[in-house]
Amino acid sequence: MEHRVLYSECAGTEEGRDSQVLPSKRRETSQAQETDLHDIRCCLSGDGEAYRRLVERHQQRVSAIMWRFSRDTETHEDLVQDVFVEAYESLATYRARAPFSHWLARIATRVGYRHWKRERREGTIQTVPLAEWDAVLEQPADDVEPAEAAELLHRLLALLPPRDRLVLTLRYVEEHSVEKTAELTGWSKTMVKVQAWRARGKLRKLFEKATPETDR
Amino acid sequence: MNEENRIGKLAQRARLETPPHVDVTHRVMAALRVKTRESAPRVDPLAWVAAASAAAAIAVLVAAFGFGESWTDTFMASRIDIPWWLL
Repeated sequence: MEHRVLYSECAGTEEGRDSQVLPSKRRETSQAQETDLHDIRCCLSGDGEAYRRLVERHQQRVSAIMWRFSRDTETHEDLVQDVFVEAYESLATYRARAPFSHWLARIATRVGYRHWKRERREGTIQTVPLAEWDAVLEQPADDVEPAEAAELLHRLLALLPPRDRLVLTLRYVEEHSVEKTAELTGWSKTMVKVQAWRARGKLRKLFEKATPETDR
Repeated sequence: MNEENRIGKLAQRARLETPPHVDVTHRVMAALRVKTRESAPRVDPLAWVAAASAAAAIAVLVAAFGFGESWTDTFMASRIDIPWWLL
């Protein structure tokens, strides 16, 4: 079993280095991925420091993902922490078929989506009134500061249900492909396309509602 | 859709944003320590009752075994006295 392979390699036995067990693809992985694999093996064999190294190495990437889900610094840190705690708890299920960072990104997306659902349930979402939206966009997009643009988009998409918000964030804000979006969300590619189409429709309706009749 | 173009341009700008630098290493490790401690097996108060019950049960078993042995011996002795053709 692959998991056992990961474990035994850290323990220093030769069993884990059996090329019959390791897929050829993995042999071509970069040094960073090899380092990740080594630390995962050590972690699974009870070395707590190995997980610390993994967190140190991946926390900025996870932070960037979670920044799309919450722009409140405190909540953002909590979410990053949640991702790593959840990853630790399911580390035994990591099969090394994809790089560790991809696996973490999937967990991060799940944690972020759950956060949005909770926010919506509790009614703590901060949105931008659509009436203000037009005024903001009077200025050319290039003049808008990146942070301001991200904040605006974050609040605008918060008007939508979490599912629609997620697919639009991944497809249009993050500019991920349908395949990548499907991988991150765990949905099928068809589902991603349908969901994105519906979400765009809902967004369009929101704008139509907000625009006075005379402006159309 | 005009709004979609605007959103697209804003998204382009948003992608240039640098996310905040975080260091959650200590927090994560502390959270994991707490979780590990919580999931570690603890001695339940009822475990003491179970241990006392087990000790009592062992004592009863030993006594019963001794009694049974002596009873069997007596029985065997009585059997020896009986002529074989009566059995």
